[in-house]
Amino acid sequence: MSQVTGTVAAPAAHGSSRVGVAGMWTFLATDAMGFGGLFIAYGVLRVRAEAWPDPRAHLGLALAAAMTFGLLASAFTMTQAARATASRARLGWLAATAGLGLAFLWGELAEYRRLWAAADPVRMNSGLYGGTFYALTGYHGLHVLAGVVCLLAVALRGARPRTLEVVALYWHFVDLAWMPIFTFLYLMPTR
Amino acid sequence: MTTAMSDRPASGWSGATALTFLALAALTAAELKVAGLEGAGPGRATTLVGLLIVKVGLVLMLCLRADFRRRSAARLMLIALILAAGAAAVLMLEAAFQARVR
Repeated sequence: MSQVTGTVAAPAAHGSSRVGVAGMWTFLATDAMGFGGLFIAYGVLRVRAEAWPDPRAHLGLALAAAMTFGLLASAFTMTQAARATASRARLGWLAATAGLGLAFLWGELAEYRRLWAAADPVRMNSGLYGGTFYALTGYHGLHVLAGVVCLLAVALRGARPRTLEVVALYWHFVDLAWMPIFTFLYLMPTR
Repeated sequence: MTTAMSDRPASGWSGATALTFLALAALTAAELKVAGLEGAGPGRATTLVGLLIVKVGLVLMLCLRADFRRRSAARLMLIALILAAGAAAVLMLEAAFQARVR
């Protein structure tokens, strides 16, 4: 009897994993549209604006670069977590990923605080530049926060490989979404 | 994991992942260098976009290796990439047209 149960349970578990991955891809496709809409709005507003502030005059490039390197490192640790065979190693890589995610969020908050306190402050209501900057970085920051919460929840529940695979997909997407934000908001020169 | 992935030793994958991460870090450093160049003109923006595309491609490769199990998912991603490239081309043409009208 137990043998029968075992043979039935294995394909069912594999099937649920495939459903989880497919569900995550569907979610990412819809989420990518949200990011896409924000990027298109940013691009159109920037191209059509009479003047656009030089990003280097307001934004902290060194901090943003450190945040970018941290997020890239978290993609590496996440991949290692998803591929680790020992559960202890998995938890270690997961903790490193969550730590890097938290460091990223801390960096983002530090950047916001610096912008608010600057002599020429950049706030949500200080024109199109401030509005689009906070909308894009804030939207991405919420994704990082959700990712960190997911990582911690997965770690608390034992970090099962199948669940990790789905969370890894999400984390890579968050990493991917930051790349154009860094290029267009922080590095792209004004006309 | 796909058959190809399970056949490959774990240390090989760790090495490939580390290499990908180093390449991403190097590309980000190159982006910072290019952004700091003075008087590079419009070429600077083009170079930055080129570097961004390479970085995005590398991360997609990392995801593809780790998580693509089904050919349909790969096709779905390909369609999304083509649509994104199409949208970017339309936006660029629109921007060029607006600049000419001005």
